[in-house]
Amino acid sequence: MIELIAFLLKIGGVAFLGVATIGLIRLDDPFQRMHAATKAGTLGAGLVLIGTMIAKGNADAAMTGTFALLFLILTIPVASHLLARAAYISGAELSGIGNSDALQGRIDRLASPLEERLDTLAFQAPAEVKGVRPSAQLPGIGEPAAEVLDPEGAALKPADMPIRAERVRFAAFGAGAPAFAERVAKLAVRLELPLTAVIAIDTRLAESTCDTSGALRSYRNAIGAWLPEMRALADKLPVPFDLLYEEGDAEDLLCGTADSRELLVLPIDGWVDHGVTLRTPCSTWDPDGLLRLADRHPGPVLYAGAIKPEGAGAVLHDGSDDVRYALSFALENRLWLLDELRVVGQLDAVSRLEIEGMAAAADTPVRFIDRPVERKAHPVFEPGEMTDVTAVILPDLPGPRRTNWFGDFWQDRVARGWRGDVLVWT
Amino acid sequence: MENLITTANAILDPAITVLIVLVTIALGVTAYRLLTGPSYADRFIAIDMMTALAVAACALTALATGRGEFLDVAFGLALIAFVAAAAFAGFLERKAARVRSNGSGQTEGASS
Repeated sequence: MIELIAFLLKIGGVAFLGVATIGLIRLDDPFQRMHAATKAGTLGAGLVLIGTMIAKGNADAAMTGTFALLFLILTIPVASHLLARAAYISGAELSGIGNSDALQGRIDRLASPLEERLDTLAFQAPAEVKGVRPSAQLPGIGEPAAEVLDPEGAALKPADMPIRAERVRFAAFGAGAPAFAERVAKLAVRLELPLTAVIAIDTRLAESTCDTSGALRSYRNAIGAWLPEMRALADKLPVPFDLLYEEGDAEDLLCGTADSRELLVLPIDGWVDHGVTLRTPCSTWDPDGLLRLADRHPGPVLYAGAIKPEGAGAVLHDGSDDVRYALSFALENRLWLLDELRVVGQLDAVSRLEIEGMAAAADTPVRFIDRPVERKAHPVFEPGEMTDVTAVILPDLPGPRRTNWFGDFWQDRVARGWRGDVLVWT
Repeated sequence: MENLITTANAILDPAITVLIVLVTIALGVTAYRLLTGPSYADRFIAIDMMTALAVAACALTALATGRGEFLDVAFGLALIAFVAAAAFAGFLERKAARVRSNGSGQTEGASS
């Protein structure tokens, strides 16, 4: 008889656990799932424990079982309260309650889920913390830029006026730097813009190796090998050409004054170690911050990989302001000589008209490819969309922010096997 | 009566195994939620749920194998689960606070 009771308790417990699991899978938001998991889950585990104690029937089992049960009952309300509070604060989705959020105004809550924000916020942090200049906030999505005007009126609104680039800044890494400089110089000459080359040495990187002065020396030697070639190039250019050599925080140095009217041109691989491979004891990674620069620089960033500027261009249009700015920037400045512009994404009629207008002004035929755009999908483009494409415009770089991720080159995440120019505006 | 108890035992012993299998399936399904998320909160809830399932599985194993030590394991798990949940909650709140201090003016709520 006792065995039967114990068995029924256990069956009941497992049934509750099953219901809790089904709830965890099928309910809509974290709070509903928590409701299923904690209530039914505790009851289920508790019933199974009681059943086990009864079936065992000795003092030893009863003792441990009771303690475990007591502890479950004591802690689970506290733990789930903590978790629910944290979930609420971090902006977890609340579905099905309409506007009747009783905690609204009582607890600060992120307006959108934390996960979505972590991607977009990385670039705002340095600019605001250091108070560089308000124009760093300029591409803030959907925010009126009127209040952030600084004294020089630098906070222009790209949505309203044509964006003209005023300077080109590029990073020189390693032995490929002179060839890359020539490629950027051609662009700068075509656009008639002054050019700045930044040769940076990351002192923090040098400090993280075992031998700081030795590391600095080898970086300087590596730079010295191709620096004369850069100087020679600087002398024969018809546009102003500044050569900056700096040591310090590489990301800061490469981004400069965080000016959105400055086009930052970067190679598609390499980093400020200038090809010198030195192991750092704290990390198993090769030093690599190239793709993070796009978040750091508040304006257009061009990863220049294509050999020639002619060909088709592809745009992944998710409707965000970032991609609108980048597209109007590219067309307004004739960044590439495109023979076709392919716009991938589901667009409303207004955006289509806007794009057609801009493309007509730049003498570029447009083709719209209507398909839903998945922000996190890899590769970003489907193979058929990429024939003859020399340049793409993306709302955001495909994550993770590493040029080589376990042997997978980052442009393969744009389209498999493809190499070319990538323009982003963040 | 003696006979009845023997029959009952013959049925109940394998039934425990069936229950363990059921709990294991539930563990698998919960692991799916843990892997797919989508939010951090979902993952932490899934971990919480997994501990409850593991406690139940331990209790059932104690019966199936006849070894009382598994109940101690269940007790230990119940202890650790609380610490883990509290740590996760603290992590999530800190992260949210940091995001908020970086992206000021984008929160809804009392301070904005």
